[in-house]
This record gives sequence, C-alpha cells and structure tokens, in this order.
Amino acid sequence: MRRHMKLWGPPMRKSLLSVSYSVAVLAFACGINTPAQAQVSMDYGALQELFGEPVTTSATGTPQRASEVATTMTIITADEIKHASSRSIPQIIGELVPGMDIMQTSATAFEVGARGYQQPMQPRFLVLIDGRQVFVDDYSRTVWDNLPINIDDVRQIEVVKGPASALFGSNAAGGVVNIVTYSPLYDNSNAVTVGLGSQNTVVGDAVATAKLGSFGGIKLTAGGMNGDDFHTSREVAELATYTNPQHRYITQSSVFQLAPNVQANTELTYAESKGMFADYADLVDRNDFTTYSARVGFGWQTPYGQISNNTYLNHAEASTYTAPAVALGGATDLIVSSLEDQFKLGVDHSFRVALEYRHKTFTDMNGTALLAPSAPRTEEDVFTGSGTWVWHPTEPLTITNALRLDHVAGEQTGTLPYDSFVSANQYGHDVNALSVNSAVNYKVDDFNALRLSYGRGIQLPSLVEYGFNFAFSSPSSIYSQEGNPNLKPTIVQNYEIGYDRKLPALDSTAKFSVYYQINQDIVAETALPVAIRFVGGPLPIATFQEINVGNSEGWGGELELQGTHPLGFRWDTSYSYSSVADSQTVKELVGYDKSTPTHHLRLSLGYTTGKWDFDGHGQLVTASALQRGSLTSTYNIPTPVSGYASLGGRIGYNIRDTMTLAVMGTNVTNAVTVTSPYPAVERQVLVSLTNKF
Amino acid sequence: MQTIKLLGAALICAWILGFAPPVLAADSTDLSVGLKTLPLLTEKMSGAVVVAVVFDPAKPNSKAEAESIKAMIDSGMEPPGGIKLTATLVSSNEGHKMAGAKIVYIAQGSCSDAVAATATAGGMLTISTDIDCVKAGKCIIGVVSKPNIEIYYSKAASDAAKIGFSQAFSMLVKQV
Repeated sequence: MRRHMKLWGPPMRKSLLSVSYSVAVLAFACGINTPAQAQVSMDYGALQELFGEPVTTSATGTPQRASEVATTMTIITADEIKHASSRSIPQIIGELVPGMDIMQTSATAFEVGARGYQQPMQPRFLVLIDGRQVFVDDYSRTVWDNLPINIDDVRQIEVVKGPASALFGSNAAGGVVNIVTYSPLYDNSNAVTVGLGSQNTVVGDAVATAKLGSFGGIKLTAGGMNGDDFHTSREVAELATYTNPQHRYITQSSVFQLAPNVQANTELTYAESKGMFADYADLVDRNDFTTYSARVGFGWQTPYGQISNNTYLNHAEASTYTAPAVALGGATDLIVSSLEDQFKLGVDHSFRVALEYRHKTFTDMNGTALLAPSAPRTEEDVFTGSGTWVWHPTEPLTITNALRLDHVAGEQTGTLPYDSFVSANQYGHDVNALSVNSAVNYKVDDFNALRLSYGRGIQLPSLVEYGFNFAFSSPSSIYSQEGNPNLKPTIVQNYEIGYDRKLPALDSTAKFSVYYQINQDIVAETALPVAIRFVGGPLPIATFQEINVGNSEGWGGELELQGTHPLGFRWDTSYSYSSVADSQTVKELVGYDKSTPTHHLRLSLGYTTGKWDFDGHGQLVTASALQRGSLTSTYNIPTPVSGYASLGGRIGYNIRDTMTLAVMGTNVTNAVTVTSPYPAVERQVLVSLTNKF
Repeated sequence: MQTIKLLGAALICAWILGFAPPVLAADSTDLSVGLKTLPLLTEKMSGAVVVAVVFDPAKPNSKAEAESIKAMIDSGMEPPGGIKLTATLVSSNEGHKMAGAKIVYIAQGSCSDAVAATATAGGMLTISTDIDCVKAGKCIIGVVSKPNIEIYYSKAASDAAKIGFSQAFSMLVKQV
C-alpha cells in the first residue's frame, strides 16, 4: 500500500492479519544419489569450519558456500555482529551490507529496504528467522522491534538483494533477510547480556542450551528492553500517542535425533512490543504488537532423497493508536506447511523439489468500533510448487535455475460495512504467479569469479490491499477505504552482473555488481475517490482503493572491498549507486524516484589488540524525499531530506575469554541527525556486559 | 652477502641435481581441513582414534610426507569433537597393520588397490591430498587447502566403506 498525496478525505489507519497452511513433496526413482543421514538442522558451524567461510541455503534452497552463491548476497557473521555499533539487527545490516536503505522512524522502529523503493511498512523485503517467516502479511511488513530473537544467539544474518521469490515466495521481491540462530543440536549457545544506555535504555538478554546426550538439544532464549523514545520534533497531534518503547520475548527450540536417518524439531515463540512507528499513512503513532508462533518439522533420509517438512503457525495482533483512546488493529494468522526433497542425480546435478500450502487470514478486530457491524475477514489459500536445479557442467561453471508457481485463491467473509462499493461476492480472487531465479556462476580461476543472474519476483498485494474495509465519518462525508480484489501482483525483474576478485596481497576481497530492475504494476492508493455515492444517508460516501498505477525502473551498482589482516585490522568499505525512474502516475502518487538516495558510502574499520576491540562505522547518504503524512492536513507531502553523515562505533574489552564489556553507539557525532522525514534520530549509546558460558 | 650467494648457489645446484628439499604434499592446513570433515559424518567418531598414515617405502617423498603427518598428529593436533588422535605409520605393502585404525591418511604415491581394499573392508575413512586417488575411487576425501579450500568426495568409495556424510556436506563438496 503506497502512499501519496491524499486529495480528498482524512488520513486513515488500518489493522491487519493472515494465516496459511501447506503441504507436500516428491520422491524420485532411479539413480538418485543421496547421503545416509537426514538433517533437519544443518550444522552451519562444522561446515563453516571446514570451508573457512559461511555457508547458506538462502540463495537456492540447497547448501552453498558464501563465495559461490548464485545471487548477490552478504552474510554477516557472529563475529561481525559482535563488532557492530548496535545490538539492533536493522542497524547492523545498515552498517555492514552495501546498497541497503535503513530508515529509522523511532528509537526502536526501522524499515529495511535495498536499492531504493524505501517506504514505511516496507513490503518488498521478506524476513525470516531460521526459515520461519516473521514478515507479517496484513500490510506486508516486518515489525523489527517485535522479533523474538536474542542477538547473542545469532550465528549469521543472510541478506539477499534482488528478487528471491522462486525460493521464498511472494514478498521476496526486493530481497530477503534470513536470520540463522545457533542449533540446539550442534551448538552450545549460552550467554547473558545486561546493558544500560542513553534514552534510559535497559537491556537484558539470555540464552541457554541443554544437551540431551546424542538424542538432541533444547534451547531457551528470553529477554527484552525498556527505554525512552526520541524527543525530537514532530507534529503536536502525533505527540498525543507518544509512548516509550518496550520489548519482551521468549522462545524455545529443540532438535531431536530420533534415528540415524531421522531428525525432528520444534519451536515456540512469544513476543510483545510497543513503541512509535511510521504507519501506512506515513504518520508516526503508537504500535502495540504481540506475536506468537509454533513450529514442528522433520528431516528424513530416504532412498529417494532427503525429505523434510516445515510446518508452523504465526499469530500477530496489532493495535495502532491514532489517538490516546482510539486503537485500531487486527489479527493476522499464517499457517504454512511445506514438504521438500533434496537429492543429487549423478555427481553434477542437485535438485530441490517442494510443495507448499499456506493459509492467511486477516481479521479486523475493531470493526464494531467503526461503521462495520461485524468484522470483515480476508482469507487466502496459496498452493505452491517449486523446484531448484543446480548443474555443474564443468568444473568452473555452475548453472542454477529455480522456479516457483503460486496459485492464490482469496475470499472475503464477515459483514461488509454498509452498502460497500465492492460487494462481498466480488471479493473472490484467483492469481497465478510465476517466480524465476536463474544464474550462471563462472569461476575464472582461484581468484576471480563472475556471476550473471536473472530474477523474476512476485510481490502479492497485501491482505489489507486485497480486502480490508474501513470507513471514517467526518462532518461532511464518509471516507471509505475498500479492498480491491482485482489488484495484480507487482512483478519485479532484475538483471545483474557480479564480479568477485580476491586480492591476497591486500588480504581483501573486492566485489562488484551492477543491476537493472523493472517493477511492473506497482500498487498505490488512488488520489481521488474511485466513487462518490449517496447510500440512504445524508452524507456522501467517498470510496478509495489501492490500484495498479504503473511501472518503475531502477539501475545501479555496488563496489565493496572487505578484508582482515593477521595483525588484527579489519576493514569493509563500499560505494553504492541507485537511480530510479518512475512512470508518470507512480511519480505523482508515490515518487520512488525521489525517495531513493543516489549515492551511499560506507566505511567500517576495526582493530583488535590484546583484550581490546576498536570499531568504527561511518556512512554518507545523499539527499532524498519521502512522503510524510500529517494529522492536520489531508495531504501526504514529499518531504526532502538533506544528505547526512553518521558515525557509529564500539569499544570492547574482553575481561576474560567469556566476558566482554562494551560501549557502543550510533550517530555518536551529533546529538540529533535528520535521516528521514520522520522524527530525527538521537545519539544512541549502550554499555553492555556479556558473559558466555 | 657472500653467505647468501653461497646458499643460493647451493639451492640451485641441489634443485638441478635433484637434491632439493622434498616438497611435502600435505601440510598442517591440509590435515586440519581433512579432520574437519569428521563432525559431518553420520556415525560420529569419539574418544581415542587411531590414524594409519600409509606411505610407499620406495618413494622418499611419500615417506617424508607420512612422517610429517604423524609428527603433526603426535604434536597434539586435534579435530573438533573431543577426539584424541594417535598416529601410526604403515607401509603400503603392510596393509594388515592398518587394523584398528578408523582413519587412513594416504600419503602421496601410496594410493593403491590394496590399501583401498583394506580400508574399505575395515570401514575406515580415507583422506589424502592425492586428488587422483579420490577420482579413482580409492580414497573417500581429497583435500586441497590452497589457495582455496576444496573438498573432493568419492561417493563410491564412501558407500563401499559404509561411511556416510550429512546431506549438506555432499552438496557442498566436489563429488567425483
């Protein structure tokens, strides 16, 4: 749901939700080449030790070394996380990944995008924790300050730039963040961190792992934070809902080795948070958010390949306070069940085939408080088949092809408010969407590697955009926001060339990539009502909808130099260029061309000597202009933001091998830095003490 | 300066005459990388593990490499997982002395059908830097550690010895 200048009617808020569910897989007959043991939980640590670099499954669904992935990807390791200037995942990503756009809208709220197209409630970047979607399907967004995760328990953060829908499905149109935590089976993740910081911040996190002999392991994490939000200027009306941020979470995960060829896993999570954030109307208000999830899965090695299942339920409840006593909200449920088979045919061909079913539901929890007599409910069933084929025709050449076909069947239940512009029986929608990822990796020699890739990603309209109904009465009219079941998915196509060169003389690796991206059928809200009607009352009803408004093209590139020296020095610097050109309607309604900073320069330098770590992270970002809502105006206004420089850093002292005292901070050179149209960010400093055992 | 010139001349002469110091086919990095495959076995090893280091007594370089490998293990090199290694040198024409070993390190020039057969029959994990040995199906794991780490894997040899690796391992290595 993209914002624009509202030419008519008051700004509105919404609520959200989703559910999904799925199943399936295949087996293949003759000649299948499979190993003897199933692993539902990959031993990332042992593989990283063996190959001397991180491994990932986020590029193709099959394991790959970081230096050989079929896409433009950055893997942030636990060691890099340790040296970051924040314990916040969006800030860590912003410091360490070229080409990322991180927008901070409060002390704890962030939007994470890549290569432009930044916006509140960023819908283009899919976020997962250990393969479980934490992206919420209501508005299609990630509530970063609600994630049930302990940063001390993160093994690596995998960031894929560009469409990755063929593996991950819709909403991986702009990229993917997959956060991988330590395995209860293979790792011993035990740590306690306490911290005090600016904005009266108090942080506490703990993780403990219990081994059950060779039978398995159980891991518990818990923690949270309290603090103050920024006090930087904003509209007086927005101050009415001002609240301080708070976060609590608890998780349990386990992996069991049931037999030499069978593993099973379980996971339970709960998180609640509150804080200020930028809502879909480009306003800043209070967001109370509660999530929980349950997951089971198994891995089973058969003569036909390794079959694995991943089944989970996500539930999210959102309350957005537009005024101190007015909370709008919704509940989103997602049930996913997938079944996949990974196998090799001969020595040169690796395959992954999968079937998936998901059921999403969004229920408006506050319908009765508005004009709706009962809460409408938007539901979608998604049936998916997907596959990946990795072929090594010759030693230096790898060809990867991945396809995914989603069939989406949606409907609206419940009672629509009054005489809706779109009647209930019109809400059924069927969408077939094809996602593609292809790549050719050519290893020129031991030091040079080339990569050509193509991605076709799908960004399905959110449940809110498809079917949410909301009405707001003013003295002169009734403003009605209605879903649009005729919306088409936004298609993102990305063409990219990547070149990596190892520079042993500099102890460094240089990475270069250029891309060209086409976005078709972008969705945005109409500027003028699609209909103005009188339905039995004295006031006119003005109906607004999301519609497909046009296309946008982007191109750019990234150049990165990263290295470490045995004497304890480390460096990572990059320059990113982004250019976006919108079609006329997109330019008028959304303005991605102006919201994308053209130049972005990063520099991270670190040095370890004895028990001391010193790290600095600087960024230069050029000007942009994003739309900003106003409670005192019916217009959302493109608000220019000057370019800015920011500097963060960390000083750590390792009191002993297992205990570290650290001082870390972001935007440390200025008390206040304007980085977006939202309230300027303040200097944030944290003193933390971490003990691992 | 005179000393350096003399040493340089001596090295050149030694090289020309074939008396150059033997270039060992494996170093501690190769061995270390090879041992890091152990946690990825389906049937994990634990406790005391004997490594039979096989060499061809007719080839000085083979023996030198084997002795170097044994020295590295004896110096306390330990793989992940709390395994305690002990090494024993085994001449390739005395394969029966491999009995009791769980790991066989095949030094350069000692790859043979007899060694492979004995290791296979004993369910032993074979490791070498001799990639041709792996490609011939006579060794399970081949290690290249420079300039980049590459692992070669013979599934035929692995299956014959009834030794399994994790799914991820098989998809990350160069299977031959």
